[in-house]
Amino acid sequence: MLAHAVTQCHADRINAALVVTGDPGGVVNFRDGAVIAVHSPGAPGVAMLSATVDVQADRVGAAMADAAFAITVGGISHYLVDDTADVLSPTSAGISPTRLLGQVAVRLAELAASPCPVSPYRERPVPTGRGEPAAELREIVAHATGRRTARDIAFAIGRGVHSVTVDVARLLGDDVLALAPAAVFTGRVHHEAGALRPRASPPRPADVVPADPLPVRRPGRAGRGP
Amino acid sequence: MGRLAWRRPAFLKGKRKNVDYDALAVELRKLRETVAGVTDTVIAAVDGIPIISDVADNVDPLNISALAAANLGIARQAAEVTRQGTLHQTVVFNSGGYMAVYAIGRIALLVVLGDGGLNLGRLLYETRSVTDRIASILTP
Repeated sequence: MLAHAVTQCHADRINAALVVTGDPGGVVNFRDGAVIAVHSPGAPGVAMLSATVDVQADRVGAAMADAAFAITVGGISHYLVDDTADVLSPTSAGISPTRLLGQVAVRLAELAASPCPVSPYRERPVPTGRGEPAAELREIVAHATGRRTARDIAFAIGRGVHSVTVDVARLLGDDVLALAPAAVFTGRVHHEAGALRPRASPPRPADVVPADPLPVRRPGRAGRGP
Repeated sequence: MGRLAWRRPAFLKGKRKNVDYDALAVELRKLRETVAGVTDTVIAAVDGIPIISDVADNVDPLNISALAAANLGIARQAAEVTRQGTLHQTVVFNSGGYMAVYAIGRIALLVVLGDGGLNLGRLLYETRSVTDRIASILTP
């Protein structure tokens, strides 16, 4: 579906944004039919990728391919071409959609071939405590709290969502990680809130009964003054 | 999941209905699962006392609730001074993520923390119905 849309945008040599609605969805920006930027909530952008990991000659291109992978591996409900969107200044010369789709296909195939293919968006891994992860995978295990998906871990450690998902799949296959049970509420109820009471409205003065009433003067009973 | 205890938050004192914490927990979990990038959520009373939270270990729900209440209070004042109607939400944009605070009527608030990839548009769309449902759970 995305392949068809992207190829058509290339054929029409559009200067517009292809907005892909879905989970997580994303936006593919075209200039003159070439893909100049891809953004998806499913993949960290270039600025968020840690400089020390995933060092590649073409970080911009890698981030674009990663975002395109993030869009295709999730669900796509529909797409539309938005030519009213601001045209982004190109972060690279742009690449042909054919090349981008080729990179996405390689990434999808790599994930599918892994021992335990998982979705970057659904499954939430937890450490099993069995097996020792390789040094470069320790960071992933440390961030697998049972609350985070592979996508969340990728954002937390500043790596591409594809490489993190493949690593998570490998760790699941090696029994270092296991899948946290779904539909479990991991939060807590704050009962101490019940200990606090709203300020009680002060009793009306008429209702006040002084514990130790002051003597009341009565006419004719006044004592002699000094 | 065990049945969570039922107890009345302070602001409901004197009212008849108890709060269904299970229903609140379902709303928080669904929000985190539906919107990509949501990392932590807290529902607090409007005075900043947390009612229920779904946060990571490194996030203190007490701090977040207090900050969110202050944030919402200032924003509400701004909405009133500028005469732009009822305040719905505030969003704090940071280099590494977002903190969105939603007013739930005049009684409570919902805090949503998100990472840098948070789908804000989707969050805005989803939270409209979520805050309505939370309001109906919290109020008789």
